[in-house]
Amino acid sequence: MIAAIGLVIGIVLGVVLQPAVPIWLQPYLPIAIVAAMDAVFGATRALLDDVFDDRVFVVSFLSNVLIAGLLVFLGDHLGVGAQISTGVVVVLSMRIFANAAAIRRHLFKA
Amino acid sequence: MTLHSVTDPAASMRLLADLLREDVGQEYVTAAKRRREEGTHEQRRWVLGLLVTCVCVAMILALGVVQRDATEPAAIKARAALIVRAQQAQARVDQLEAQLTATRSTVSDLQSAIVADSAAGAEVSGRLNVLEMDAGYTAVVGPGLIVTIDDAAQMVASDPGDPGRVQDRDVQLVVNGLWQSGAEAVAINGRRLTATTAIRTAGMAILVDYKPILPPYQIEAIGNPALLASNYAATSSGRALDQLVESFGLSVDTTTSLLLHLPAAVGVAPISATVPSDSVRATLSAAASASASAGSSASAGSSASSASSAFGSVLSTGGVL
Repeated sequence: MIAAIGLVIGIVLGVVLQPAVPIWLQPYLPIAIVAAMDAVFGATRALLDDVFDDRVFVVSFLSNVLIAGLLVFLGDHLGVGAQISTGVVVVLSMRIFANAAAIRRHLFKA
Repeated sequence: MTLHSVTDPAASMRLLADLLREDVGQEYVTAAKRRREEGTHEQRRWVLGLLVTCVCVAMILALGVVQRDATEPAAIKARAALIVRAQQAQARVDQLEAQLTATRSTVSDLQSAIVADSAAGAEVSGRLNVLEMDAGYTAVVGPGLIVTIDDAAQMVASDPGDPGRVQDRDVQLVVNGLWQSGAEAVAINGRRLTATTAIRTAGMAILVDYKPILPPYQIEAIGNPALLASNYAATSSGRALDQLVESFGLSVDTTTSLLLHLPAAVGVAPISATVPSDSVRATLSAAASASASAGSSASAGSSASSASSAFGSVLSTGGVL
């Protein structure tokens, strides 16, 4: 319930305010989006498995976004930003796929 | 084992399958297991953290959708900006061209006012008229030939290298053929050609006098229609064009017309020009005001004759006008 309210508030804020993403943050937006999707899918799966935990959700989301951002930042400064971005996106997509598969098994038993 | 993996058609997909079978996102499971070991069965609530994180997550996702143009490739944006600038520049060119045409007609009015009343002036005026017509400086009317060429019907519009596309060379071919056949004035899609007009390709458009024109290309030539048509068909250009039609499917249509209106060329830049001295300018403005007021014919005549002599001096001292 609280999660749903939070999601609605967030979407409304994002669409209505349309805060300008500073130029130095823009390379990290796609990474953050994939990390956010990963958090949502992971949380949905945990809810269906009946093991959802607020603290795990918060901490895992924050740490994933931070680590992903840090990796890309580091990669940018080492001159391999594009490759590390790809790596981060691949790993997060993998998690999203695994979680989506679990959700699918729950919902459709298939 | 090796044999099995070789025969398994989906062997290359094993990595993906393994990764999906593994519990990749298992933070929640580990946490639940630990809770079970510690004996605390109820899940921990952390309302504020959950709310804030959910807001963050949703906001990032919403931003991702809303700010699509922020991550849009820079090249597309740059292209759009360039298109806007090109259109503005084109509008400015159109405006300047209109201004140029207006100024030119004022100049020729002034010229005829100056030279109107003397025999020498009339002779100069007649020569000027012929030269201006040849140079594309004035609009001309007369019978002539219209050659219309267009891209092949089966041309792929997005492919700049399609052989069915009319190229600058093809248009040049037709124009040169028409000059060769005795055309006195030529225009492409309403753009009058002069001796120095460029017909070039830029990207996928053909530029005439640095202005893009669109197919079908209508090339109008003033001259004796029957003579033009028969001469043109016999030129090497006419035969080369027939070949293009045969091999690439370009469409070419030749018709004669009894009345063609060709405008003056706008892009005529003088090769050299002379700025009249102050005394000449004074006579010119006097002649202009005299012709404007058009009062007593005596005063107008006298000022015109004095002006024509001043004009003559400009010609002799200044060289080519």
